[in-house]
Amino acid sequence: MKRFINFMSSHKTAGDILRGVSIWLMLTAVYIYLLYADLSTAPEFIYNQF
Amino acid sequence: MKKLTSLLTAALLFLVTVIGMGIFLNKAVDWKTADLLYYNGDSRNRCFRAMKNIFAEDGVIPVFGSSELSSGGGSSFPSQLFQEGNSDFNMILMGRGGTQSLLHAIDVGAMADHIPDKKAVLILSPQWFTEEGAQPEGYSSLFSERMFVEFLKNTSLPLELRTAVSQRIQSLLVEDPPQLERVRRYDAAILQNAFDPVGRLGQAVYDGFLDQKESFSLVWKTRDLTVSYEGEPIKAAEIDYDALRKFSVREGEDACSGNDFYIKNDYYERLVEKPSDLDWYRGTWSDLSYAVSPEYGDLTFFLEVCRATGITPLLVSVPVHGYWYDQRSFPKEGREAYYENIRELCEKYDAALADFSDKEYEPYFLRDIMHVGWKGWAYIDEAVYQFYEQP
Repeated sequence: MKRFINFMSSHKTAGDILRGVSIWLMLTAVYIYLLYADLSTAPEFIYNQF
Repeated sequence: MKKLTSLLTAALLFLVTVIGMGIFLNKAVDWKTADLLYYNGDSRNRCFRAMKNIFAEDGVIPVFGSSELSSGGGSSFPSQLFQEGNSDFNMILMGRGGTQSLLHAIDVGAMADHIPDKKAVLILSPQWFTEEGAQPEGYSSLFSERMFVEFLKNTSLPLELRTAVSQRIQSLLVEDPPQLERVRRYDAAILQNAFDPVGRLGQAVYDGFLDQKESFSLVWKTRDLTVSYEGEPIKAAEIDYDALRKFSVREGEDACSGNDFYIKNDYYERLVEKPSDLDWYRGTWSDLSYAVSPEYGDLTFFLEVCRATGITPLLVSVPVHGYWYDQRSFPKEGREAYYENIRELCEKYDAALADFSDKEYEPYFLRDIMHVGWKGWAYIDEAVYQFYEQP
């Protein structure tokens, strides 16, 4: 762990890319939620078969 | 620079994810095609790719309708008769309670280029043709934006027709302001060609998202759906429809044993909880009629769309339940006028008509007071197959 932290602090670009990966993970989570969620704004319709 | 590297990395990865997801979902929808033939759910009916795939199968014909398509017709119900697709002929049922002529006009206009043999069937319910017609409460939840956009983009439809349908839809979407606003934007961008590059870009992104969302919804909802019938496929030409009708009567007799109205027992028990309810019902529909309704205008849209896109429609005229309508004193003139209006419209638009209006009192044609039942499906199966076979 210590070696990893040392590596990241000495390689700035790798740290930036890692931050980019975390943003990507968040975006992807939001995107999958939007694909799954019911975004309809229509009022509920109950069909009366009688 | 630091922030830029992070943002560029995230943007690039996200772009790859979205594209990859799109490719995967499209493939997943394609793989599902055979299982979806009789899956009459919103998630399939709103997924343009799924419907396109289904219409590319051999021996299929679209059958539009409403609540009668939600099973309940015993052995003669299409999914049973044709073993969920293990057949050389399949009726692709599209619709549920509340879907009426206008929504089907949009579906046909949207998918016209993919409808096989340029033939489509519409099963009409007399109950659509009330004085009020289609109700706004139902339309916003039944409406498919994706199909509407494809409809608007179909340039084989005259601009006036697309505009008129769009205006009618807008009048029915008042209960859902956000959706209405989007429909207005589609209308402005596609039909009125409004200059709005930023709006168009946003619209394109939203359309792409909607595409993926529909595929995702279908794949997710049908993840456990697998259809497997063993044995030789059904050959539709070899079905003995007279024998099917006789068998349907036996199924109907078993299901309606508890009343004199030929209505399915559990439905009847909810309708008539105690014998005195029958007296209460008498006269309650005496001032109703199906002679005049905005639904005729919507049906005209359906026929106009068929004509403009070269599709030959078959309209199925389902009767009302004679015994029950008499019990509630629904005037015969109001029923006859409806049947006659349908005949006239078919004649005017050269549409084929399977007219079952003389079967108001035929037991088991309907399974309750309005939905096609055991014997009715046997009649309709035969009529649709004959229509399909016509050159």
